[in-house]
Amino acid sequence: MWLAIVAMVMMFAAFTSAYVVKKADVSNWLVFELPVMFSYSAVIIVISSICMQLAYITFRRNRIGLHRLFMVATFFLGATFLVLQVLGWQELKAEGILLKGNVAGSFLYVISGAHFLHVAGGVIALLVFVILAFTRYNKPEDTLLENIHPDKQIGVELMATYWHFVDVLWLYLFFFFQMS
Amino acid sequence: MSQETTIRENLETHIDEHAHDHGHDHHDHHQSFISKYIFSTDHKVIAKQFLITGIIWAIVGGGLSVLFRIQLGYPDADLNWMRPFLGKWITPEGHIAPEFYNALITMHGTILVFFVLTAGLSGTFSNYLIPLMVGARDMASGFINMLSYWFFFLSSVVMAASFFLATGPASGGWTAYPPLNALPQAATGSVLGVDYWLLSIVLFIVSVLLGGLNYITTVINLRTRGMKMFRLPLPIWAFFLTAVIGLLSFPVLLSAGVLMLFDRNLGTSFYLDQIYIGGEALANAGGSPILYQHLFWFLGHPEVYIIILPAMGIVSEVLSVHSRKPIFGYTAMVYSLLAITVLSFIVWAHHMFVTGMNPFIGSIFVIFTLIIAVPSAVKVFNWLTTLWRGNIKLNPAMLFAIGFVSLFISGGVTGIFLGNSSIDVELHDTYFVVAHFHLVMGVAAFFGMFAGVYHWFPKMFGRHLNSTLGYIHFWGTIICAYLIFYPMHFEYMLPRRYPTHAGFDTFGMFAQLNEFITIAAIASFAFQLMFVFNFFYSIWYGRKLRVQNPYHANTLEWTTPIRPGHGNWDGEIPTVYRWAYDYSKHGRDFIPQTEPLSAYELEHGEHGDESDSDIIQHEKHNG
Amino acid sequence: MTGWLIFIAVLLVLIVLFQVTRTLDLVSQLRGDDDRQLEQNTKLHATGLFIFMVLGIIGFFWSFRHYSDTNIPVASEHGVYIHNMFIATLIVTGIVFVVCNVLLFVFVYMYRYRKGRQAVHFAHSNKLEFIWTVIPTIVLTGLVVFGLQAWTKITGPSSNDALVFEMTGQQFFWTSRYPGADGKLGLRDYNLICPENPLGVVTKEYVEHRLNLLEGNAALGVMGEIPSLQKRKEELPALIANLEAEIAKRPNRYKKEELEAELETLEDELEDIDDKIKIRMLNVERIKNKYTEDYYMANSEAMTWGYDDILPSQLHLPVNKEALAKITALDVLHDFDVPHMKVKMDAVPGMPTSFKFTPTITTAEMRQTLSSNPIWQKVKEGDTDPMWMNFNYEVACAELCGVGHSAMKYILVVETEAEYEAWLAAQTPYWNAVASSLKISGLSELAPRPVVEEAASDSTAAPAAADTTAIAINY
Ligand code: HEM
Ligand SMILES: [Cu+2]
Ligand SMILES: [Cu+2]
Repeated sequence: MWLAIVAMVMMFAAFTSAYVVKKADVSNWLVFELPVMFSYSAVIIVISSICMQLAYITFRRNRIGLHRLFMVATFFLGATFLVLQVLGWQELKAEGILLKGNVAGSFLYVISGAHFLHVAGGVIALLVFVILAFTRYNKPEDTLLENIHPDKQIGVELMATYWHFVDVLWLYLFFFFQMS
Repeated sequence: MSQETTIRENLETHIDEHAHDHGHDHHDHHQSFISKYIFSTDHKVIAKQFLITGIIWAIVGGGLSVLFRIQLGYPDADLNWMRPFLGKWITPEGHIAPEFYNALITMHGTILVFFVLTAGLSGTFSNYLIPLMVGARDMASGFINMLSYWFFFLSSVVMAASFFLATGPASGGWTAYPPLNALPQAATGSVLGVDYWLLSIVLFIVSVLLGGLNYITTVINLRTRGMKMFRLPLPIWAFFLTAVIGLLSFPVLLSAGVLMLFDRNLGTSFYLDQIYIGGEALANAGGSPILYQHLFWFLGHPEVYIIILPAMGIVSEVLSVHSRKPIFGYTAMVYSLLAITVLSFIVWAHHMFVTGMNPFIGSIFVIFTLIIAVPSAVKVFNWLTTLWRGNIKLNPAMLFAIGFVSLFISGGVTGIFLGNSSIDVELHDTYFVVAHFHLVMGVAAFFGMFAGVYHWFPKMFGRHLNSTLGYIHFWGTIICAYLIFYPMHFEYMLPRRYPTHAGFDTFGMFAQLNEFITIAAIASFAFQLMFVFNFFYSIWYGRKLRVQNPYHANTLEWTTPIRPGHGNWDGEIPTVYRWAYDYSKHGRDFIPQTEPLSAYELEHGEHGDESDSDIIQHEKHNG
Repeated sequence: MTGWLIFIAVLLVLIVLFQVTRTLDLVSQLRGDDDRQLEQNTKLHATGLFIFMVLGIIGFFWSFRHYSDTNIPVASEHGVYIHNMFIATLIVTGIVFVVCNVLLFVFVYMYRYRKGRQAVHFAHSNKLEFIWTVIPTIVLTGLVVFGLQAWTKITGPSSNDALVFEMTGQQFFWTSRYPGADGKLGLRDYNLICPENPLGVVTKEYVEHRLNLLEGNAALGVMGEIPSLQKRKEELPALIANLEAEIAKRPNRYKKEELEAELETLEDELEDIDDKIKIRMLNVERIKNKYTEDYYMANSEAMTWGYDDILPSQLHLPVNKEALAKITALDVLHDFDVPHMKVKMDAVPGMPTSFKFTPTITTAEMRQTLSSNPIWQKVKEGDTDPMWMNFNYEVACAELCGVGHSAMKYILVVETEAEYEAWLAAQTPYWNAVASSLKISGLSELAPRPVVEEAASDSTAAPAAADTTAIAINY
């Protein structure tokens, strides 16, 4: 997982450094306001990240009821994030910043779009984990952590890691665009 | 950590059961043909899939080069007889159409760099050797490993499909620089071919990343007891670092490719600015073609090391085994691999000295570029010393390893010219560059691959290759390789990627040399076909391997059964007590890694003067 | 038929050969004495490698002599630095190349396998490894220092009185441009490019002309690209319908295919036509947005620079005078490559680059030098003179740019200062040739009147007059 994250970091690093390099040598670089939706979505994804962590902790502590609750919360917050992003793009469009227009705008779309895909992948995975959370631990002996197959234990941990990663990634991108 | 151990034990018990099931029954009736040979999760089968796909691509890629060499060597020849295969790509006068020439060189480069020397080389040997040499039952995830192959396969299919497009495959060079490759109106290959090319490369990147994740995880987590990092055989270090480089550099190419796809299909202008083409002034503004070059070479340079590191690793092992000597300076070898890994990321702009880049930045890249020559030189000296006072057995594998060293020297020294920006002004994009990278990377990596195939073929297929054909193959290849690429240095003023130089008086003087090179190229291709024949013939009819450890080698793969099943070892995985290079130590020909250190014995590296005292001791012994 | 026979014969020979190798392998196996066999093989191939090395080294030195005639003389000032660096690097790396390869093959020969002999367990030596890390470092540092010295000289700023010219690459030819009497190159804008203005030079008239070409101007009788495309767009559906009806009527297979192909082109055209119109409308929009009254006010002087620009068919440069090439591209990447001058610089659309160099040998002198070179003494097919008599410096393109990449040749003539001035004086500004054909309402007071006839007679005037004109231009 960590290795995969390194690879993804490299990809976004490439995008953003391309952005910086471009910005330095283009005179008619467009100065734009980030849509407010993007800041809402930043808040949402932070909250969802906290929920995910709580879901993970409760999972480790065998509090299956709470675990289910937090998984569901994370999932819905993730889905909300996606909706907010789409709204954000619409806001951009209304402002006249188009994919086809200035390179600055193109970068904004491509980078946030790539991030969107990563989150979308995460939300699908979350859905799987929500379903697992509700189907798995129904037999009494299952509620003991020791009885859960280590592979599955790892699963929740990986999910949490990934989710924190897309969260931090968005914060980074958000501040990156905010700064520049 | 504790979790990792649990996973490992889990995996081991899981596969152990499996191995026991089939341990005594090599004709595996429980698995269908499909799950055994096609969608297999066994690293050994996947390795063979990579190898065979790689060989097929090598024939295609080499065949393309024969075609364009014919154009260069015999510009006036009547090629109408090719019309049945190539159709409209042969002009009415019977020559190769220039747009097809460009497509040929583009596909030749792409196929050989990515499909053969990346997937075919590192895909094959990383997969085959990592679990066997570190002592693991399989890769960390057999499933992801299988996915890695099938993504490669898909990518191959897409690339192959592009040959059948009406407008032809991509024709803007393997580096796919925009705007030539970004604008459909700029070249026939850019109409659709580049979209196929990009899609194929994206799939390929996914394959490399999946593979790389597995290699790294396996080396870090699944080493058998006692296999410390500094006891790893050198190929494993090389594969490991190759995977690290791939993981860090390929995503950048992915970004570059995605931006290009946007420019091509969605009207963005990441790489385009103020372009007037085909009678129209395009609306694109604000992008930069140079941005693409930075992104591309940020992958592109590491990529050349992705190709050469595995070959270096393989050659180190083969040289050591067949000269019956420890590889000289193991630690230095590892550190130079590490240094190359790090440095390979900060030299990319040496491919861009004449793009109008800021000259000051250029000079920084000159410095880094020439620094990277130092670890490369150290490796060469260490190989030479490995041979010194050895007892060298010249079978085909060893010959190819020696050939590798020679080619790497010959091609490496020209890097010193190119890395010096002022000389590169003269040499950039000429046949001198073509000679440089073919010797140092192209042919050398092939030699590494051949060394590996000849060396491990018996392990892979339980049979020997025909060694007489092997010897002929070696001699044919090395002689042709030098005849092709050595004289090319004298064409240092000839621009590359020209279907003909006849329009220029200055360039016209090499007609004879070009013809000579073409003949050598065709001959060399024939020798490769002979190897392919030997390879497939021997898989089924080769002489059977009868002993477990035919080379008296130290590494773990030779402790497995002659034809290992899924799970590799029938019983427990052996424990490792020493490094892989105790050859001719204390008067013994070889001491396998599984043999515990004796009481008086020092492990390598833990004692500075061990070598010296050893020699003395040895001298006494002999004297 | 003979082809097949040859094929079968070759196949048979191959099969026989393969059987022989197989027998060899089997025999060695039957003998059972693997070690002996290996020892013999090793000896054979070690000797082979040794011979290979000896022949290789002989070939290495021989090739330098053999190819000495193909080396092209260095004809520029910085070319000499590059050449010297090249030779220094060649000597250093040549030594490394020979020594390392010799060691490699000699070791293999000396320490080849002999039964019963033992290798030496020699695993590392810090001293040795230290030495061969440090020595390459020192040597490379030397090369870097000299290389960077040359690099700063090559890329440093050009002197103020350098002769400026411009090279523009496009698929698939070069266009050169010299500043006229005012010593300034006219501004350029890719939006203004049209047949009468191949580089998009900015003058008031060109702006108007370009707009008229795009939008049409009834008063001047110009249809305009956009209106004609729109008209075509209206016609196309009817044409297509006609053609479809025609196809439906035809029973004849052969003719039908032809018509179908025609139909397809028409359909493609229809599909693309909206894009074409849009691209041109955007072009109009950009021109109108940029060239406002304010712009004309602010740039009134700069707008006149372009009138006297010269677009000659060859490059001419005076010897021993620094020249500064400004390099641009219109469509894709190209690269301005003058092999004899060791000049090479990419031409990038949207990003002008430059390269400064000083030619040191005139074309005439170079012809003289080459007259003793066997390669240049040859007579080309269909020619009567030996090649050296027609030698010219050639400009090539060194960055793949499409099908015509290898056709981008341009001639560079280096001559004495006097010859150069004469040549320059004989050139007429490009404007003069096209001004009368521009589709505009009238030439502005800024523009010089077209003087096509006068200039033409000037160029045939006695060369003696040239010197005075040259001085007039210089001051
Ligand atoms: C001794 C160290 C080396 C140095 C200093 C060096 C330097 C260079 C430079 C400066 C270029 C760019 C030339 C140009 O386009 O003008 C180049 C091209 C190239 N080098 Fe090296 N190189 C070295 C070793 C290697 C190795 C080990 C490999 C591969 C394993 C390699 C593969 C290539 C390739 C593939 C290209 C050409 C790429 C292309 O333009 O298509 N080089 N080298
Ligand atoms: Cu490189
Ligand atoms: Cu070109």
